[in-house]
Amino acid sequence: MDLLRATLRMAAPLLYAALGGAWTQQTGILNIGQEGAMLLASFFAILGNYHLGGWIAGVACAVAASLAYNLLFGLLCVTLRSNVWVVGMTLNVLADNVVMILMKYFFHTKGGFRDPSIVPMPEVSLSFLPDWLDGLSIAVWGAFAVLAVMLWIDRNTVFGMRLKGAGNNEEALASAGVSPARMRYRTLLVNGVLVGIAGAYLSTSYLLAFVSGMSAGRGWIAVAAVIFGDGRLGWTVVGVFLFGLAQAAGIELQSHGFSSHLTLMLPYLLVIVALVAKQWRLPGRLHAPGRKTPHSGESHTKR
Amino acid sequence: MMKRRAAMVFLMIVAVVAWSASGFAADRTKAALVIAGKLGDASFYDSANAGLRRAEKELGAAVKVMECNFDPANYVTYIATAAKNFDLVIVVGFEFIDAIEQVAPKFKKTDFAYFDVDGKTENVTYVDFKENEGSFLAGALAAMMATRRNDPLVSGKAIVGAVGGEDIPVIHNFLVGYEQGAKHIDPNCKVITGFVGSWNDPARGKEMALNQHKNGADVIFQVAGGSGEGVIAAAKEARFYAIGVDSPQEHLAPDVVLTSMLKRLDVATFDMIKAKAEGRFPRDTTVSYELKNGGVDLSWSESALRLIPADVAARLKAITKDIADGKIVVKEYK
Repeated sequence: MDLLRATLRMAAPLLYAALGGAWTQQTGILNIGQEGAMLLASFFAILGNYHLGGWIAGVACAVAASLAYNLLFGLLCVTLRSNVWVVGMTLNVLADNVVMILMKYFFHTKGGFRDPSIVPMPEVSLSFLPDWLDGLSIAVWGAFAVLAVMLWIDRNTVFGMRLKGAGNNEEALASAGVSPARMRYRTLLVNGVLVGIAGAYLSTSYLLAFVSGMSAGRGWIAVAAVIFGDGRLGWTVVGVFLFGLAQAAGIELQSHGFSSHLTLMLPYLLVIVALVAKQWRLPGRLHAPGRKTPHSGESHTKR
Repeated sequence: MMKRRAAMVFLMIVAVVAWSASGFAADRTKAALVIAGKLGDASFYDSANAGLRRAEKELGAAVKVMECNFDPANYVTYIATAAKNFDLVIVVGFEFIDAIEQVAPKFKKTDFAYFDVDGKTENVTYVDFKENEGSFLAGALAAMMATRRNDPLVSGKAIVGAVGGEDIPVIHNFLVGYEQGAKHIDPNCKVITGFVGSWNDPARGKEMALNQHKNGADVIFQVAGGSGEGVIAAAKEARFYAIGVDSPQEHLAPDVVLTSMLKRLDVATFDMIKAKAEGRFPRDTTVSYELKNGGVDLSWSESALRLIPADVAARLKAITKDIADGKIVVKEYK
């Protein structure tokens, strides 16, 4: 049960970013800027929390920063139709360095910042919950709430259909009077909010400090989960939990004397195996007629 | 990647131009500190920086820190840039092990001090820290605290933990000493070790510490750089003891961080610059910083003295003496 609890704690930030990324992927944008957005949000959460006081201010700052970042991504990739890979990589590097400059400016240090006055996000403590679910951060529960809401919207609403329309056949969507670009911006905004919360969770719930580079590849894992799920929420979530479980299990195994070389590899190995296995089982899917591959944003460049 | 590198090169050119333009007074010793990571880790690199700042203040040395940000593309270029512009280049970090051999022999006029690894390269003075000796003390302390009665933070089981950053030889050298120290107190003491796999993933460091605690460890030694911040956060949250590393880290959580195993990079950095300023820099040798000369030690800060009971402290002092006198030989990881 402790293993499950650890999995939940570790999977929560991935879940936010993967869910947000899955929707942008549905509209044809593989959002590879997640790593930078998460790092930026982690920093702004600490900044807001410390200077304005309170975890809500922290989360608000984190979400605002992440929204701005995602809007910039949208401006470059949707409006100006640049290549998502180039833009994503650039923004990731940019976020890393912007954080460094701001760290220096606000906290006069570059490596890390911690302060006793930082307020943690609240934990959900209810008497009827079993021990292993009790006392988890509100952000962990929030991730599941978001998952439920998004699943429902995805399956049952017109909005959910239009998302897929923007990715699969934007001419059809446009002829129905809906702007595909607007759909893309909407998913980027949703993604911005979600990744903002993920970043705030990392720095003001999981830890009460900012350490440079603390997103530590989580944004990339979320991207891998999105690719694994090909934009479908269900499979993306499966990918996230596989990874979270592998991480938790890897730590558990190390405590019992297994070599770190093997156990640290476990989550990544699993991602590769899962990706290969999936493509193996569904060889025709990606090339099914009438369906453009949504990768790399080319699907919405004018041809 | 290309874009990033191009940007780096451009920035370096700007930096070099800026330096040469600003100019240094001729009689001041010019010392550069090149580090693999970034400042602000409240640990390893900050310790070296403290020594550099002291040299700036007390010796009037012209100093500069160059942070490589763990980007291997920077390693060779930053050392070379520093070598061109400074009399003494202090290189800190295991990661430079190949870069230093490549660069140092080409700059005959510059002195190099390379911290943290032992070896032999032209123009390079290796500064070797006996972290295994300091860690022996940390291990002995951990074992004594873990088996203590009537301490609400420990259950009395002879189990201690250690969380490392990356799985590299230096960290194993810490762990070897730590384990030997714990077993010196109690031969049956179990030592749980784990590696985060990164220097800047505090979230995973925390998870690892919580896991070791769940498996019975009530005292955990962190040797994980920025990831170690998570170990201390875990100790604070789940109420167990942590031992910090490199710089005094007691202030991060004064009621649970027992002490810190100090690698006095600050002392070594200052010593090197002073030696250079006074024209007695020990070229092409290995300088050892060990328990005997205070190069490694536990931090005896006020908060440490408050948490560590007097009898434990006395025993640690006795062990320190035994190691210095050679009565206890601490194993080394090779």
